[in-house]
Amino acid sequence: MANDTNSRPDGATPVPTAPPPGPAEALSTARQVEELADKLSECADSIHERVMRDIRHHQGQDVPESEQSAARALLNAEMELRQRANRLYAEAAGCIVSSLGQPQQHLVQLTVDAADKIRRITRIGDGITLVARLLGLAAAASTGQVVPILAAVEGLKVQLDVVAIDNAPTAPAAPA
Amino acid sequence: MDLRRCVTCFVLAASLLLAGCASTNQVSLAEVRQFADASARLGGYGELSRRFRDTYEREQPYLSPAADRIAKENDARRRAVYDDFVSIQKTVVLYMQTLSVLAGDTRYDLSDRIDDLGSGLKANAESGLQQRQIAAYTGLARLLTRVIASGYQNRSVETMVRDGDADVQILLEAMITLTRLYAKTNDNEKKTVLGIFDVEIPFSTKTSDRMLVTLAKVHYLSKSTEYKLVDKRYDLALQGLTKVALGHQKLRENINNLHGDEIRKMLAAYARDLTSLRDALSD
Repeated sequence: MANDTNSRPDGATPVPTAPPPGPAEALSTARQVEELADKLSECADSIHERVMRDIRHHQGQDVPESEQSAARALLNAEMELRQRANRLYAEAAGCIVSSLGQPQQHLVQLTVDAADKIRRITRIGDGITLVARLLGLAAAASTGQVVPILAAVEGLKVQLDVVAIDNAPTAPAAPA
Repeated sequence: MDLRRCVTCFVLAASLLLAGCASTNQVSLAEVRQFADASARLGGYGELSRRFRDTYEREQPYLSPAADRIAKENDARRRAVYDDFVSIQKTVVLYMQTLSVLAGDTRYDLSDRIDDLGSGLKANAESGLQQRQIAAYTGLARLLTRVIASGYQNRSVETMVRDGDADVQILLEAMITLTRLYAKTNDNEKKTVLGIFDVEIPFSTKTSDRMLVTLAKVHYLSKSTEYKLVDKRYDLALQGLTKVALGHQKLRENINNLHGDEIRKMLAAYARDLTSLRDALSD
């Protein structure tokens, strides 16, 4: 708070911004980066779980071509997400962490929501878009630049809302 | 006359007493020595550091083109910091070896090992590690250089532990954190490698796929066994490093009472645990 001159120019979010990292700060930043990587790994686990659920659903019968390609697309996304997570682990290990540009709790909550939605998603097509948004966030997080991270956060938030509407028990509402 | 004889007797008695003390000193530090030796020999960290560095080599054949692009960058990052991670371990090992020398009665020379530390320092200035870890590394390397180069003059286990503990703890903490990150990286590697087969084997239902599916199943089995064995090693290494840190902390806390029964028993127990962890790691 005392260091207002150092706050970022994104006036829209009135959160107490972190002062520039000192020696002690660097430790918590590495921890934060590790935590985000944990969540991304969990999202990858969710994707895998979701894909496997569909496959098991066929009980050893042939899986239609369209579902196969959806499963492969998700598998590729899962793999990419694991690489993003491993990138963050490597950053945390080398303490060459870049700023996450967002309050940690906010990012973590978004990824937790995403992991949950992916697991419970009904239409696999929604899953692909949601996962693409998640990948966008994971990619932005390792840049440490505020603008791409904010954009990625927005994209993920919107998609989470779309999925929430589509998965509602009532008749599916068309997304705007 | 009487007085002089008395004094002589007293001096004689006193010197016998002191000599007695000195020899009990030697005996009672046997546990310190066992602990220091077991700490220096604990395996795991070095091998797991190499495994972390070589992640890309193992996972590359399984990666999609998009994942491969990111993986290549990750590979470069891991390779850039590897030397630093090994330097940390080298310093801690040399510290434990020095402690072992001080706790024993032979003063063998460790001076050829100091050169190793010097080269580690240069790498450290350029990359990686946090400020406090670099400071701890530098501090401990200086202490070791001084102690070893002087032929251990005016040094005892007590002064070594007192001067080294803070830095040793920081470096051990760094090694524990790194091992945890190695384990998490390995977990993503494992799930990447095995994940493909989870998905692709059920999709391969054509008769002509039979040979491929068989080979895939065999490969999956051997890979999953390999990862199961490796997973255990991260756990063993973490347990070992934690025990080394705890044992050294106890040593520091009892610095004025290293002959006490309790601390001796405690150190002997740590040494035993570390030895069995090392055996489990070399299986």
